[in-house]
Amino acid sequence: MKALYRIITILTVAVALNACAGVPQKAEQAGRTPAMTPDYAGVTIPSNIAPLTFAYDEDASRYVTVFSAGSEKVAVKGKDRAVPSVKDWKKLLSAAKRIEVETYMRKDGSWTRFEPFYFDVAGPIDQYLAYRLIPPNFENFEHLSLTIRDLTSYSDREFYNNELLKDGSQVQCMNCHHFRNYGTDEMQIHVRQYLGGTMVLRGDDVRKINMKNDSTISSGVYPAWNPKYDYIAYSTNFTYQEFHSHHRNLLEVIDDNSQLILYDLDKNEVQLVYDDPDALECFPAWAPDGRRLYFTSAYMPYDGEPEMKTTYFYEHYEDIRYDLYYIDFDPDNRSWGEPVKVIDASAMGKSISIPRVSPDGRWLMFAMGEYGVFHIWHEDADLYLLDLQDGSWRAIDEVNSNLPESYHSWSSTGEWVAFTTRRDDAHYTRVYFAHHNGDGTFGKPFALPMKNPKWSTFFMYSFNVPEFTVEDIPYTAQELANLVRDTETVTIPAAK
Amino acid sequence: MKKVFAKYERCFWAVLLIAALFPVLAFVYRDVLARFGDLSLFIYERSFFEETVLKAGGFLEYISAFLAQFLYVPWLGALIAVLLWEAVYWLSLKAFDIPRGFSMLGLVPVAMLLLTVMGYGDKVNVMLYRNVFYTATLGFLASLAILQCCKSIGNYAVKMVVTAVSALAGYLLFGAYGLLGAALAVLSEVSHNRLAFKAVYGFFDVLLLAAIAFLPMAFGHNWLAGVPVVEFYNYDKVNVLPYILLAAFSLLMALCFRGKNDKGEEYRRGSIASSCCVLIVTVLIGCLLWKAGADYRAETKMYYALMDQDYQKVVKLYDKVVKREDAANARTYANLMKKVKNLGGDDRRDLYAKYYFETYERPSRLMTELRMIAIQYMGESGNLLFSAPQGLLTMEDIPFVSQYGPTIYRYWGLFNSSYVWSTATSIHGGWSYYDLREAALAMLLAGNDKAAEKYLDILDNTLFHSKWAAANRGYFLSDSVQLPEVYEEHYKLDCPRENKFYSENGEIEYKILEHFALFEQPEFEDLTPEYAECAVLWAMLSKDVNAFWQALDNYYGINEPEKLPRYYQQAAYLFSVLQGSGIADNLPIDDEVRRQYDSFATYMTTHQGSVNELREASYKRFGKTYFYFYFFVDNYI
Repeated sequence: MKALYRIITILTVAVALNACAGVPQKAEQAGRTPAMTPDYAGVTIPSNIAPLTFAYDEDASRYVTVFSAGSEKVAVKGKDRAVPSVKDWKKLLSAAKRIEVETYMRKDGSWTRFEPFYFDVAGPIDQYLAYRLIPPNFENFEHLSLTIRDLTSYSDREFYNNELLKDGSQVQCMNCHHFRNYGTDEMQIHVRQYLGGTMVLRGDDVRKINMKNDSTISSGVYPAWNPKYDYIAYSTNFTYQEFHSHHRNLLEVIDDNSQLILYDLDKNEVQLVYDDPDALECFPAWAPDGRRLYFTSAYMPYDGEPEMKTTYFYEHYEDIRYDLYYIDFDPDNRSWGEPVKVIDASAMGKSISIPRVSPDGRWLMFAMGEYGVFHIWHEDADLYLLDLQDGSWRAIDEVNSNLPESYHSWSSTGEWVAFTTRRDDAHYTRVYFAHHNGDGTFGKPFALPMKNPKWSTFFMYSFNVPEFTVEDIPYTAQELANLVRDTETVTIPAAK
Repeated sequence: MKKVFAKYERCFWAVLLIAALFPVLAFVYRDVLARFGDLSLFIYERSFFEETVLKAGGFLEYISAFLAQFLYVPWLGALIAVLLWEAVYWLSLKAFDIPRGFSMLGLVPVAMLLLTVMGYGDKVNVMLYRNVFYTATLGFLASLAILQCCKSIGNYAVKMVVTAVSALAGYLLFGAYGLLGAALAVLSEVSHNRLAFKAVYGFFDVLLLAAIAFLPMAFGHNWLAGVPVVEFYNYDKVNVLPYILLAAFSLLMALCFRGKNDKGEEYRRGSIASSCCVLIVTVLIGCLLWKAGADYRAETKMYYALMDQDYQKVVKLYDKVVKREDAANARTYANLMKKVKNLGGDDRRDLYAKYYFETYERPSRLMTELRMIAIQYMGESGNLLFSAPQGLLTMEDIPFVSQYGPTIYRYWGLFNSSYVWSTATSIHGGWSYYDLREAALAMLLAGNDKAAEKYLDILDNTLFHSKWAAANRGYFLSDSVQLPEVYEEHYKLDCPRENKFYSENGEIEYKILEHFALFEQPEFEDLTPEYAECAVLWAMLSKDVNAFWQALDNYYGINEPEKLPRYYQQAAYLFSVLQGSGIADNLPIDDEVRRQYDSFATYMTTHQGSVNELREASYKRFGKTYFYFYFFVDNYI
């Protein structure tokens, strides 16, 4: 028995020594933490997240990075980066609530030790994140894909690619993938132009619908699937895109007409919810109880010639400012209350977009910029948080940067938010995550982990509409493309 | 002599190949090669490797990209190409068992490979993917290597297994060329191995061929993996023919020769004559498919001259094209009129003249645009703009916004548009050195350093463009480094900085026209002299009288010239006369301009013939005046 203990002790020591093999014994102290990309120092991370890899931005020939958590210690060597293995990373995540990261840098033959930094480990994050990959230019849309990423590893896969249905010069645009209650058994995507229609997928019930009818100005645009009842709210929008000649925001997307509509999945009909001819409604979002619909609306009256309306709106694009509203909904008889203004952003010279309510119904996160609706191209756009309990709201400074923050979504537990930002390089949207501390404050945001820490520089696509799901998408890209191709588009009549 | 030739025949063709192709490519086609290089991209970074290699034919694309970076030094790129074609020649002789006397047939694949790149012409700008210059050559070399490897195996069963594995591995690494190599190996087996004629072997051969043909079905149905084809909106796969001919020739050769005839003798009789016939047919086909002609060469030369800020050279190149085309047009017109005379019907004269103007040769619109930039940057636009005819935009031309759009926008001071188009063209075919440089430069000029940094970072990881990135970082991000004059000039045209909205529909010249001439003119105090000059220039092109007067007013006020440039005088005098306003009386218009207009007007009223005949008849005398442009030339914008 003693011999067995001895062997175990020797093996344990050997493993421990091996884990830290190559860690310099003598090193000068840098007195600061190392510069690195992405900047992960001091972030709070989910307990099931894929390994955080980072590249050092220091001028050196090699690095040794020591990750310590409880009794676990892992040394990672690299020329310019730290890439822990998935196996080691999982051990570290489960070993303690805090991972210490110590960096040794070799330069001109001698070692320097940096001050350690830490990853705080919180609860798990939803396993999947679905997003659209799009080149950051809206001139053509032939290379669009929808991708689902497993956040606990680096694996991802496309679940739709519009090139699969390309037919000569006939191509389609697709957008607005949307899931009901973080599941994927009920989801929708829009397909525009060639083979166009809104795909509503509920297991075997596959519909391709067109909601443009006598009472609606267009098919559905921004969706919000009621979490409790079988309805999907949409805004309908006449959307235009123009390019700035000199503005840093490069391009401007505006709506010059819009409505709120409700698609009744059971009755297969569309109800007009709200249509103020002097206002532009957008971005519906349900409260978790499914009885209140938040949305944004801009007051923009126009009484000139109809054909000059878009020109007029472009001339006054900086005056188009959206406020936050809600409207109560009675699901039993599908009736609506009167709209109530929640935040009068326009009075403050601001404009709100993308309201999203946390799963517990306490918080509402939104993006706000100086004007307009398309905040991902607005450098001044930031994320804000409204406390629905007391009506107070604030800019989430701990999350925001001096470049755009825009689309965001809560995880199913409300502990995490994923949001899009252009902080890395101004024009390419990236996904970041932040830990919600439960009291309306957030941890330092961290970038979507990738195996190659330098990927962002070389990746020429933007991430759009990151949405958490708790399960994988039940379709391959080809299967979904086949459904898009083979399902006939049905025009949905207006409710009587 | 005959014996010596017979002995060194193979070497003769090999030397001829180098001697003929290298100087032509390295010197005559220098700029075309440089453009191929500019439209490539090889990044020394792991993610680039993974992104490129992990698909069918990805390895071929990767090594093609690696070699294409050397086209930055055109003679080096040409040397690599010629050496690879040498390898194709020798390996063709070996793999196809081409006997002595037939050696020149080894040049046929080389000719086809040359056509795969020279068959693109300006459409290389709209390729589905970049790095195309060496792709076909390297791919075909892989095909030949597979064929040779499989041939060298004696055992039938082993040979079939190796062929099957080669098909799979070859497809994954080299795309369609892997399949071609395996198919050649099977056909060669059918042709060479008498055993193969036995039913059982024949059955297996057919089975294997079918398996090779359907292999891509397991990998996304991509039969053309590794074959760069043009596919851009209305442009069909125009460069496919050389690939088809290359494949057909190879399949034929695999079946054709066994090194010796049935009597065990090497082929000799009639070999040179028949080979010559094949070669002549190849050359004829080559001439038909050769798209990198004089105009395309001139366009690339003009672009690189502009990049070198050699504006005089741009103008000279344009004049050279005009001279060539004027001579050709004169001959065409004379022949047409001769035909009319022979037919004896004067009533057909106008019909033929009209036909002439529909088909006559003119520089491309892209050349005109490059020349306009050059003369503007020379400060001579007012004196030179109409001294050469305007170029045409034909349906066959690809939109030049897809070629040099980012550069053209940048030179006219429209940095946001330059950026938008560098990203737009990259979406279709993938990023290239050209797109990255233009995107970085547009954002640096627009003052968006953060956006520029990404592109500079990528260029840092390239072999030949990292210096450019470092230099431009220095120009824009360091206060101590002097900005190059050309960038200073860009800024002078980046005026006024008042923001306007544009639809980005690719009509580049119309957009520049809007910017300078059609939109409301900016406040006088916001103007630079250069902007004011451009406004007059584009107003003249627009033929919009009001825009012209407003632009001229601004120009006059800000530049206070003692003498108006020649074409401003002509336009001012013409508009004054047409309006009957007498404005010209208050402008310093030379007597010569007045006389010239009077002469033009007299000619028009006294000369007989239709409008088209007048147009042609007056071209020699008045073709270089604004009057002629105004009445006879569409502005094509």
